[in-house]
Amino acid sequence: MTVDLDAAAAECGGSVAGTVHAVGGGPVEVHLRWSTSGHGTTDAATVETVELAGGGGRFALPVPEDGPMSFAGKLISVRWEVAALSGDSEEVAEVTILPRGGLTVWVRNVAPPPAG
Amino acid sequence: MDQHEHESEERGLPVQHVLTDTSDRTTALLWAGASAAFFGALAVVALVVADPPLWLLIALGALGLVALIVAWARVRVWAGWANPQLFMPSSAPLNLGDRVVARVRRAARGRADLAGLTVTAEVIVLERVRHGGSWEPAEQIVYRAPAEVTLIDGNARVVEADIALEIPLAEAPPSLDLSHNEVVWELLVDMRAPNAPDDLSTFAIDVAPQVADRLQRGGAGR
Repeated sequence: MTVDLDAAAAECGGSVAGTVHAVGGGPVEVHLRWSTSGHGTTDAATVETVELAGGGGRFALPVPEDGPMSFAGKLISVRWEVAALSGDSEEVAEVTILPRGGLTVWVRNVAPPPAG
Repeated sequence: MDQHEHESEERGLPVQHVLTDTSDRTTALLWAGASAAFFGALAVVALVVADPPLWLLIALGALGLVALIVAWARVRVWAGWANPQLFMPSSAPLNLGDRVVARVRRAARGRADLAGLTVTAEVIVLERVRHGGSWEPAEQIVYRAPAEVTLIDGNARVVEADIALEIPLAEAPPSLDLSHNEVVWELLVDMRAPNAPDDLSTFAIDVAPQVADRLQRGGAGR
């Protein structure tokens, strides 16, 4: 099973889209989720889930307007990922969530998003 | 346009004098309502229920008291009794890359006078985490920058100052409020006068995960 994202970055309030290719015939659950890491206890949430028919397919998962956006701080980091689950197998693709209205601004002023 | 507005425009700062925060009023009313509900329930239980359990009376009384304290704190801000008081351009959160002018007002208490008051301000961002069941969080300042202060009105009793807040685009993450992990933005305002007690006040600032309009329109970088 593979997860191919259309873009490696999305905005808060936007959506994360891509394609799941699954070998088996069973249904595939696709989750958009975030988690913290660092010095504190982990906070985590799955913000959206969609079920695809056997063999996978296209998905588009909305990102909440309030994020949280991806960042790597000194004590806290927030990481987003798309996880595809089918039977016992799981495939994960990391995605960077930028602030609302930040996609072009980020590329121009801060740094290009990671390659997809 | 008064002198302050003119100077603000020359600095390229938005001139907004909406010096009210409706969220303070809403929060005050909500907590006052909650307090009334708890004390009302306490009265009903105490008067109607025969031989009410002591723990229930204590719990309702404690909840009512906590709600009353929170309501009182918001009422002080809403009614302008907090001193010093910060006025933001609006009750909406600030955005990454925003530039706004906040106003701080301090009134003298008792026989103190504020002649010769100096005001300095800085914005700091803290990352605060809790690990496991630890009660005390660990925290670290991840960003700090001075803010430009302009005294706009002064007499011995009441002094106001404008504080130019610049929220950086990428040097610090926006506000975050999770169970164990927080990013907290604060404005620290230090006020000193020869004939009044020093005052160091901390005001919370809410910063949303959104880029300021001026940058989205293709304005200046960070």
